[in-house]
Amino acid sequence: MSVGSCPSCRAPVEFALGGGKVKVCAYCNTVVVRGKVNLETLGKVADLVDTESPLKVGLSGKWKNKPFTVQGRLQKSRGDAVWDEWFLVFDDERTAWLTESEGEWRLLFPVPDFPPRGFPAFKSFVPLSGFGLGGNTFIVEEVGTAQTASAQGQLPDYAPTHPFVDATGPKGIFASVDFGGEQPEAFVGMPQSLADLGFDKSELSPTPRKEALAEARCTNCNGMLELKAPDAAKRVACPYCGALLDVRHGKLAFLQLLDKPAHPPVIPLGAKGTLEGATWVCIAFLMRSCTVEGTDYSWDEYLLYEKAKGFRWLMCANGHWTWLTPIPAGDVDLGPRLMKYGEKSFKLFQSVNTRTDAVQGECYWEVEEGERGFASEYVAPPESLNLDQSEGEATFTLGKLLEPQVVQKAFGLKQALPRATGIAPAQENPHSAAAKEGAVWAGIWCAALLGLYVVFSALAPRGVYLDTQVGLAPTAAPGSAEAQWFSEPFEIPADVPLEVELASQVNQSWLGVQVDLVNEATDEVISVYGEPAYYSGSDSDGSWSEGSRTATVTTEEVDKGRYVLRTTASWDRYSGGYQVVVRADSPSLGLPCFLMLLLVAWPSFRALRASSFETQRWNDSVIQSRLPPVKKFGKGSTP
Amino acid sequence: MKYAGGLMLLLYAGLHTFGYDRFPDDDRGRLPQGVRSAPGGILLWHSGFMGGK
Repeated sequence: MSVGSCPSCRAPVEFALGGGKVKVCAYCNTVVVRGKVNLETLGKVADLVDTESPLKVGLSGKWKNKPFTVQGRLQKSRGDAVWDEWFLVFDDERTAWLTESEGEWRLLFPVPDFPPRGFPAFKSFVPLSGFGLGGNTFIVEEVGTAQTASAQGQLPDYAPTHPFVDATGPKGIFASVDFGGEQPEAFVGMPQSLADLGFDKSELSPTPRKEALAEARCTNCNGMLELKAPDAAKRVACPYCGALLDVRHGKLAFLQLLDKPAHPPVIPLGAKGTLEGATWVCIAFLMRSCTVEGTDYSWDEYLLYEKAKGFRWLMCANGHWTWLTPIPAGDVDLGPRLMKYGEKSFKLFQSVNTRTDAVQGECYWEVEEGERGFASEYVAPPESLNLDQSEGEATFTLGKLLEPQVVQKAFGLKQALPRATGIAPAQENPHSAAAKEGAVWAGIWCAALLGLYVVFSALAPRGVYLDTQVGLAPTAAPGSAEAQWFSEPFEIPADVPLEVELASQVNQSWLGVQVDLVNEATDEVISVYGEPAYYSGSDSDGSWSEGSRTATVTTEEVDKGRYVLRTTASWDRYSGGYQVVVRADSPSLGLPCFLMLLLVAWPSFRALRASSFETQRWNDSVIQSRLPPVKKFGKGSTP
Repeated sequence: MKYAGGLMLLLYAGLHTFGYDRFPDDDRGRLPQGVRSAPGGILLWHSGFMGGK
């Protein structure tokens, strides 16, 4: 430890070893910096603002068995918001910053050798832009500039303003780049709970805000507000008179009178409900809307709070309820039309300019009536990826559809919730699963039918039992005894269906042949008739032809035995003769094809219905261009 | 679908086994009486022509 005198008030100033080079004089608030020779002053800071933080300078803790001390506190402000960042020095001389945002603590370590060559300037960053750091890709969630409001203890450096970029990487890694100094500094870390930081609970200061606000009354109508999340609330909208109250330093201050919502919240403020394994308190009700082609479309949003898990949203649009969980932008693979989260790809369904029409309850951001935002919804039923953008901020939530009965049961609502109408963007297609399953089974059974057909074909007898050319006498009259021909007896060795093929060089004519197969043993006559016919010509459309010089006919199964074949020919123009072939017929493909058609009919019907459902869903898809921002809005991580 | 396909398969196997899996073109009859006993036997059976236009 080194000791010097404050250049301003001469009070002793002690610098702990391994800590920062800047110390705030505890007596006169002068910012003292260790120069090469003497202590120098960087000016004075204002008194600390009471942020009701449980931490204080001098506290000791332990993170992953590594002891540390809280050496300094930097208070930053942005607009009306003031927050603390705590400077930690570990016993092994590592340093870190501990920050709090929306009840979530983050332990951030400085990134060595930063900035790398070519690292973009502050002005280059916008929400959703990306940058690489330590082998990870980070997505920017917020870009802003904070002021140094006050400071305490020992700090690594001091800057009056802090242009910052907050970003998230994969698996919840958080990065913050501070452009306040001569060189930008980057800090990377993960969310932590206070319990993980090994503070002695007895040394943690109580949060007076909770006590002060827990039973607060509206400053406009004196109505009892009973705040459920006083630690996190930044704005409260009185449910009785509609007054919007600012929460600052444990007190409420009237801001404006809001219009009352067009209808009361279905889930009353303060109602508790068990969802996703936790008991949530409904702390705010918002009505939001967008305008598409001159028509207003509105929906309700309920902000839920649970001390350990933070905030969640329940959105109700057309009776469809969606459970929304915040997710880090760094876990999302960004794309204009397609985004990937986890293993799922989400397709852009709608992008609309939104406004907040009514608010009731307490909000963790500085909500204002009429706030504008830009919301995009990407869908992969039954889930959705929702992107809310405001000036300088972008936040993602993962949506999951809930049945109205689930919401009703969770919050113990007496009245049944209205039935959902229309198709929700992320509603699961009720027909697609059946269509897919049907298609799979149809494929399996069609393959089985084809397989059976192949087996039957392989087992069927084969052979040509008669193949001969039959001549016709030029003088023979069609259909007369002279036009008849008898074969020599021939053997059919098995019970088999037959195929009789007749071929003749007919041209612009036909040749009809009656084939009679006589079983010598039983005198059964099996008769078939085939007619090769062929015509051709040309007209204004070009040449044409019709018919065939070959005709094939089949029989049912015939008994094995000796047969004589009689043919009787008839014609309109003499063609000299014809060829007759009698052979075993292979099993017909007609029946299995017919059965296969029956098999695919049902899944085809379901697929049509699924397609119709998708058409209906995507008919409601709206893609708007983003309007210039008017006011700040967001569900995101404003510090 | 899971079971309907099995029924179709059984139906096809049954129809094939009993020879109903085709759409034949033949007519069946008997050789007229007297053709066998007539001089020339079957080779002089000239009647029964059904075809032609």
